[in-house]
Amino acid sequence: MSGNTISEDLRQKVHAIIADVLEVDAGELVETSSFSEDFGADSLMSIEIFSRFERDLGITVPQEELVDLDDLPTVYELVGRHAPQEAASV
Amino acid sequence: MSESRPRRVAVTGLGAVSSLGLGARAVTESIRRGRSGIGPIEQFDSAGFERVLAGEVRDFRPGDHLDRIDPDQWGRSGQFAAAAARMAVGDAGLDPEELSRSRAGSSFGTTNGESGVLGELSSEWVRGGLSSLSPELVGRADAGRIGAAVNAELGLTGEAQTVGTACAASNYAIGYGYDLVRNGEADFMVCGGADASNRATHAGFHRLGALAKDVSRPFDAHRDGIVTAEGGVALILEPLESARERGARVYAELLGYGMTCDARHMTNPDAASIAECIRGAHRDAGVKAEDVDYVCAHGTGTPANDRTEVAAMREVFGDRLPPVSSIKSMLGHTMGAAAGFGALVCCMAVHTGFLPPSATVREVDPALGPGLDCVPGTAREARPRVVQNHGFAFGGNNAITVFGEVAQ
Amino acid sequence: MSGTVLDIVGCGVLSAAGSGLDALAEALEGRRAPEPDPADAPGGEEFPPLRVRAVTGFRPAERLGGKGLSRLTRTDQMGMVACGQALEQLDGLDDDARRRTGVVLGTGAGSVRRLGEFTRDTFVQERPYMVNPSHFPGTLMNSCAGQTAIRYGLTGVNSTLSGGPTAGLSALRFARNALANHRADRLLAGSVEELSAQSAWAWHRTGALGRDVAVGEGCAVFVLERGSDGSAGSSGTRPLARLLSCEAGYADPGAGAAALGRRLADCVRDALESASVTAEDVAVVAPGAAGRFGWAAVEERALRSALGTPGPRRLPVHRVLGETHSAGASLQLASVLAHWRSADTAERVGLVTSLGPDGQVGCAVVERAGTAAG
Repeated sequence: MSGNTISEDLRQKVHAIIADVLEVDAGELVETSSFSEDFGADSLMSIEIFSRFERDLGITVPQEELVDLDDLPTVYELVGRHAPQEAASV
Repeated sequence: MSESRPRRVAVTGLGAVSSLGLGARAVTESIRRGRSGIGPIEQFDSAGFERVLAGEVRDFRPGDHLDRIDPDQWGRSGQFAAAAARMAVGDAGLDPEELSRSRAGSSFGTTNGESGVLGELSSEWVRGGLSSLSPELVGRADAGRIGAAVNAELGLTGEAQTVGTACAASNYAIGYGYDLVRNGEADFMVCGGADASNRATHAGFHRLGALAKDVSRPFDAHRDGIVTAEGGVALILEPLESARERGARVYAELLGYGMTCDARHMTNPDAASIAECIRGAHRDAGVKAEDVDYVCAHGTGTPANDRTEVAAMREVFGDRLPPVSSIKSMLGHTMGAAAGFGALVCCMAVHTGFLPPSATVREVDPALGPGLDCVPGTAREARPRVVQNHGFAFGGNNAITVFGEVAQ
Repeated sequence: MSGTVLDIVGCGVLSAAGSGLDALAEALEGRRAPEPDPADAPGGEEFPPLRVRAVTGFRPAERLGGKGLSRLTRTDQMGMVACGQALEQLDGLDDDARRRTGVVLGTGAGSVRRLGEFTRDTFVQERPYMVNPSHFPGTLMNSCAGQTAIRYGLTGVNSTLSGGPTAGLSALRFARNALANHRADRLLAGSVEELSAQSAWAWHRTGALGRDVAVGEGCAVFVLERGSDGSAGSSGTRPLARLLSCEAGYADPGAGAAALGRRLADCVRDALESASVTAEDVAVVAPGAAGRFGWAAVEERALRSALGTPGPRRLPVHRVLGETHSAGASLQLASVLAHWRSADTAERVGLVTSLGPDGQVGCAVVERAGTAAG
């Protein structure tokens, strides 16, 4: 278990994917942003974000944990838990 | 505008091609016993998928069930529709020649149209580029060929409507046929729906995390999604009065229907809109909520659908919910045919006296609230007089049909 | 309901002629040849060696905003823009009116491009389910009607019909039935077809196009309301025209093309009777099969049989817009309305006909606004 800390590199990749799916400039997406309230995200976009993690980063979040994503800290935590190779790569 | 009195509409024939057997009798018998039609996917290569089960029609030899059309000229969805329609005509005891001379048409619902054909075309594109598409396949790709297959098979000269309102489509199609018969525009309408098991649909629901691990468990505390499925189903609608004159067996009277559109989100269901659809169907059918003896649920077995559907029913029925069950627990989700199978089962339930089960429920979800009778296990002997059949879809398309007992 | 007359109180149209009825009228009169910007052709794959006609000047971002646009199919975008155009012609709809207003659209198989690309991903991605979930709704035929309802908050009857070239008439019939039975008060009914490399290759491979006919695309929608006294519809908007009747039928194509032609001729006779007009009243016809190899002659024979020889003026819709498949019948109706913007005022009744290789036939009879006999 790598806990909820992830490398800066992975953090940046995750951030870029989310900004891309939400169609916002990277600078607009900050730790305190609400995906739904600030950017109009919906459940389908949460799934799109999860599927981009799988496709682009090789990180699979199991079906039971596919929740509606709304903020960056939650996402980083989820990614940290499901990127087991992360510890080795840093 | 013609001032003639609206005609009452009877269901006099039923036909089905399904994972639970061919013909209304076989399907009903399986449903009464709570049998499952789910098995390994055979219609497309399921390698690489994590979910590899579906409710597919096995050992279907279309030629055995089609009198006029050449199965090789039509896609699988069209074959299902035409075969179910042919069975329904036989079941209704109609003379095929007389039917084709009548003012008769068809109205069929579908989610994915000729998805088997479209899947093959996509595969050709991947293997050989777009320049390698087979002209024969292209000619079979339009979804409108589902209604066309029914008319061609039965020799009908009235319109052939194909309704593409996704997983509620059969109810739209049945409702449309109801209006035409009721108003005297048609003397017979063959209505229903058809869809074929296919790769794109399976992948789409897979990606949404909406596929169950093994079977669909509508209303269960541990339900985890749908199982994709396929099939074709047909109902013969005709005026009750002329059905009686010709001595036809009347399964049920189609009392009315309702339609609403959520206009909120493409994939999330909306309880308020579904509640309004139920009220509209009741008004149209001339029944009150307390008259309803059974609800054939949309009941997909996803957490969101069942939660929303039950919430909507509580809005209309209050705390006195009628028994409600989902035949998707046995058939899987037959997409555009789903509401048609619901209609078939509703007619059989009214005609022969039983409540269809939610076969796979182990523990009713307490979060759905108290007093939810989802008829777990196998069918229950009962005498439902008024039953309602739900169909909801992506795109926010909701439609509900209401059937009632007819004194013989 | 066979006698139900509907008012057409608004029309949104996108075609190779551009946006709106005036652009279409100019193109039909030959005052402006549609010269689509090749950059307008939807990207992705290489097109076959065929002439294509995309919607001229289609810039959906200007009408719909840029955000979320890539999740919408081109079909969705065209339907939404055309419906928006039609709604602007009304005096505004309050919440109550929106509850009783809906969208009914015809299509062939939905967005062929989106469905093809989505299915292709199931073959070429690392795992077959690694598709884009946000693209899934767009693979369904009812995507356009559903997205349009969301966009404009229209919770009334919403439906999608499929039927190749007759799809627009299927939608009109579905809408007409819903209005006649008071299931809705106002419906935006029409049909849509998007141009793509996938569909263009399909046309090329089948050789089904007529000589020198381009593959086109477009969308036309009509705001329909139950007819009042002919002066103004229930929304208070003056009608553009009245839909007097709309009939549909079927003949097994296995019995030969001539059987379809005969069925179409019967259908036209029924529709004229239902509309209480005679063949001589029909001043203009927009035929539907003119772009299809082998079918133009079948339709022409049916028209002569029902309307006499040489019969009324034919609008050369395909020459201007190309073969637009499931958008066809709606674009033909829009062409009749466009034609009436400038035509001799003696013209009162127009006819739209259509037949498809799968056996569906259909027609619609419309009357020009303000020319009601008696």
